[in-house]
Amino acid sequence: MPHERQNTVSVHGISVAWACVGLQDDPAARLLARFPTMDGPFVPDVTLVLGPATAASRSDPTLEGYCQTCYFDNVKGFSRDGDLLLWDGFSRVRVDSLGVKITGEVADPCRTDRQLFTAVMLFVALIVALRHRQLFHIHAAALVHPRGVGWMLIGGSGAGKTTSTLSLLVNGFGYLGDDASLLRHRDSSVEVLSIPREFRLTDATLAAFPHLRSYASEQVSEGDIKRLVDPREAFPDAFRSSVIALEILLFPEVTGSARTELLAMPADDAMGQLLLASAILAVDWMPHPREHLVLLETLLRGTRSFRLMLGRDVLARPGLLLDRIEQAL
Amino acid sequence: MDQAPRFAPNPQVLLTELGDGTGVLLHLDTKFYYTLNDTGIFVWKALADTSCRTSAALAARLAEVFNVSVEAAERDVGTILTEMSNEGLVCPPLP
Repeated sequence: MPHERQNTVSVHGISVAWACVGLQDDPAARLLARFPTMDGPFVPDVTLVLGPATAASRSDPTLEGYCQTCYFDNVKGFSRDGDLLLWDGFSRVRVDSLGVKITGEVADPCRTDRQLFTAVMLFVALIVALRHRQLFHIHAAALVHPRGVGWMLIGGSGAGKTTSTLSLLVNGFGYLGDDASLLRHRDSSVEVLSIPREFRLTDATLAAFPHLRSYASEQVSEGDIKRLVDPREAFPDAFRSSVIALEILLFPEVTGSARTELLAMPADDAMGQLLLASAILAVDWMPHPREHLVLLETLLRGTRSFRLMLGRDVLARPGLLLDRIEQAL
Repeated sequence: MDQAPRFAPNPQVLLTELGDGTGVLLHLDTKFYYTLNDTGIFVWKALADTSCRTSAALAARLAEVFNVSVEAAERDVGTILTEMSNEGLVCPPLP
């Protein structure tokens, strides 16, 4: 039976309603269903409607006056009059210029991998819509120290965010996410908000945390070496929706040296890394780049920044990470 | 009438000042970012002041605020403006 029921969730106070019309599955549920549901008649802040792709979905958007402005993996991003269009050659997702309406034309799973459709096309569309309401995405893990203060781990794929996240979870930290978070102004500070979804682990990371093997999925898709672990199952009660008292920004990198080290990071280096982790702010037509930069500046001023040089010691015994960091602090 | 070239910040370039006196410029067109020391920050902010957009006016203000000779300030300002012009951070000077 095709899905046609409308669902509504609260994404940190932003109501997002979605419906799939004429599809056999619901690609949006994987992204949105972990947020709290909302009931009652109201006009949602953001509406997302997905339907089947047509022949027109495959045509090059530049023929319709769109200009290509960015790439997200193998998905191309286009802009036209403030609209954002995401296209993988078969499926399309469009965000209107106000960030109010997201529409998707979804090709057969043999054309557009459903995991990638959700993880890239829908995810980018959602974070663009949220930007209009000044919730800004950052490619970073976010954790809560047992003392209640927030730590962030910032870096690209392969930097060690998930390994560090898991190491700190073993030491009693709470988590908001291992890879992506949202930021927004709260009074004169920065609030970090969760985007709840599965952790994505390589086999090497799984080898360092053997107790997680029983929670790990098969490989996500052909060509993707990562496996999914649902943190709700693996770390029950450790989920946190938000944290405001941020203390430390850690910029991990795997070094191969024997011992893990923590090095103080100059503010301009840290800002450069924050920009890389927030690269969508520089895409043409993206709303609120100035506000996003002010938020990053506020984040940096209120925290201490360190380069986390992950050595073989922590990779062999992840529980050591917290000791190594706190000794250095 | 002063015929010296006048510089202006490119409106597509955004400054973020950092707590240690340095700063970062992000060029939204080229997607490059640039770090600035305290002198660079000073020049960038002075450029936003329409009364201080010639090299000579910038150098005079820099010399006054940083307590350096006018000659040294002129050299620094010349270097900074050349680099900023080459990177498209400031608009081409208008006569």
